[in-house]
Amino acid sequence: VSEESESDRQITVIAVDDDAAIRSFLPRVFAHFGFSSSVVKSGADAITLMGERTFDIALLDFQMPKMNGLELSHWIIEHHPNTAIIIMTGQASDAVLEEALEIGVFQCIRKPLPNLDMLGAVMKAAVLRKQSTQA
Amino acid sequence: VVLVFTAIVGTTAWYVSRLQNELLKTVALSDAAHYSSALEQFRTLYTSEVVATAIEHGLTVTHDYKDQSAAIPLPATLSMLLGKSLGDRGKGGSSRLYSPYPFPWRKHEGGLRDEFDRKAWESFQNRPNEPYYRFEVGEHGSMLRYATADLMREDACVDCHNSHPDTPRTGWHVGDVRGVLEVTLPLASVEEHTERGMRRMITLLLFLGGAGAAAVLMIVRTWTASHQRLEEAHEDLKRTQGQLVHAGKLAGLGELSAGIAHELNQPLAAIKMLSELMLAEPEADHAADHSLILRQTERMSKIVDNVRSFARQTPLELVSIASADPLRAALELVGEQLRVHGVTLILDIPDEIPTVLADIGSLQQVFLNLIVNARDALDSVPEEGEKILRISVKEESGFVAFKFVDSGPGLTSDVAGKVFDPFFTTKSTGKGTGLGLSLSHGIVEKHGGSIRCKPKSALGGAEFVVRIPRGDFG
Repeated sequence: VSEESESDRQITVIAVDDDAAIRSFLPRVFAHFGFSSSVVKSGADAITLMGERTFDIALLDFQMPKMNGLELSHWIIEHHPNTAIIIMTGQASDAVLEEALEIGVFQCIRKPLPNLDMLGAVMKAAVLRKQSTQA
Repeated sequence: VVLVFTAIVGTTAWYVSRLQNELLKTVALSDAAHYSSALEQFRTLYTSEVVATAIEHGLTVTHDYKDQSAAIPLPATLSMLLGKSLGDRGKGGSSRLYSPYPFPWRKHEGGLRDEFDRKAWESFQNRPNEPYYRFEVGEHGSMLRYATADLMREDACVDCHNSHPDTPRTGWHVGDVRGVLEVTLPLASVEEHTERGMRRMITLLLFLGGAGAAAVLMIVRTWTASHQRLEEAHEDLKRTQGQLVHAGKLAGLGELSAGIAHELNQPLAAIKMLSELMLAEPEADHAADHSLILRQTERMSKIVDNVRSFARQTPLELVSIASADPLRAALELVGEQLRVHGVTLILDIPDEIPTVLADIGSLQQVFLNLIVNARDALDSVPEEGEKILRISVKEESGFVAFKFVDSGPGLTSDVAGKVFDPFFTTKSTGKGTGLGLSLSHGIVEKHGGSIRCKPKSALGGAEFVVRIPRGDFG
């Protein structure tokens, strides 16, 4: 696989959110950025899907029943170290977010987002960072 | 009170006055009888002890004893003289002796002079042994006229009356009614005396009655005032309790605010993201997006409404409502939190359940407290453990029972005994006010219901049962 084809390849995203309303339009947001995406409703569904394939980015909601964003991050870092993780949260404390960054989560973003383009920028930055560390 | 006392004083005065009048008459009658009998006795003694001896010694017994030598007065003459002289001395009684047959020298003063004299004479013709009397008002005030029959007592009297040259009548026998002995007792001075006494007594009664009435009025007023003070204190207490309930609500709201922020944040984030997306896709059809945004704003309105009705300070208004309504209103505020805390909520509400007579906002507050407590208890369940909150609603003989059971650690019996005490809390400082369950207890009691706590349930955690009267019985 050449470096060029690596960077030209469409970026793949897995998004995990338990809010049905947000899930309904998330694929359009990623399409707007030029990413291909899979959207699931829980950590368990994400683990199942990631057992089959890999993603460049995992965009995780923090507050979720059963398995929250931080717990899922632990699993992803262990099983998919090349996937960049971004956590979105409305409620988590600063201590929790610091812990997330320490274990290797790329970025934590508070909801609601300042604007959509910023999300796109952060996601692209995450991919670039992963590629540079791999290189 | 004044009227009653006036009536009592009036009645007492009237009764005493009547009693006194009776007494006065009785005393006067008895006086007159004594007087009369004393005169009688005197004449009898004079006749037997003096006149008889005088005649033996050759003295003359005549009415004009003053004009003759060696003469003494007739018994009747002396009796009349005695009566007259007693009467002349003033206030005491006087006496008179008369008959329809006066001796010629007494024509102008003897004889039956008025109606009383005639009636007395008539009366004695049939009943010579009974006195005849009458209370009269004369020119010197009221008086008692008391008459007794004057009888021919002895042969000496009969002989003399039958044989005397001037006798107006002959043919007398012993025992005949010869005349009338009348005693007159003036009552004016006695009456005046008793009237003075009456006046004094009435004054005293009025004074005592007035004092009594004043005392009763004072007691009533004091009682009214203390009753009013009690009522005010009670009102104060109720108001304070109302404020406490409100404070408890606000404290609960503080605990909930983080959760509410999250509740609002979700739809807000969705709307914001979607709106930006729509701006970025100017050519696309956004009809579906618009309705999604609308749904999100409705979701937010519902939360805001719930918060508002929760915080509102209104008096309890008991109406018949669907039993599930207050429960659903509470879950509207904390359902998301339960989800986030990983709590599995099991709702067991039958389709057919009676209504409850309740104030929806207050009952929502009670349920909210129980749910938040369960959530906090379930936070201490270890990772591998299950976090379950089961809420069941069922009809129970006139009540609807709401049962809250969790799979948390449960309560120690020590704690279970205190959970309804105000300011008792097991939560860390700043997290719980210790008011939630005590206020819930108060609210449920005001509904005529009950709230009970079991430290351990089938699921392992605490069990709370709230019973509220059915709404379809009233």
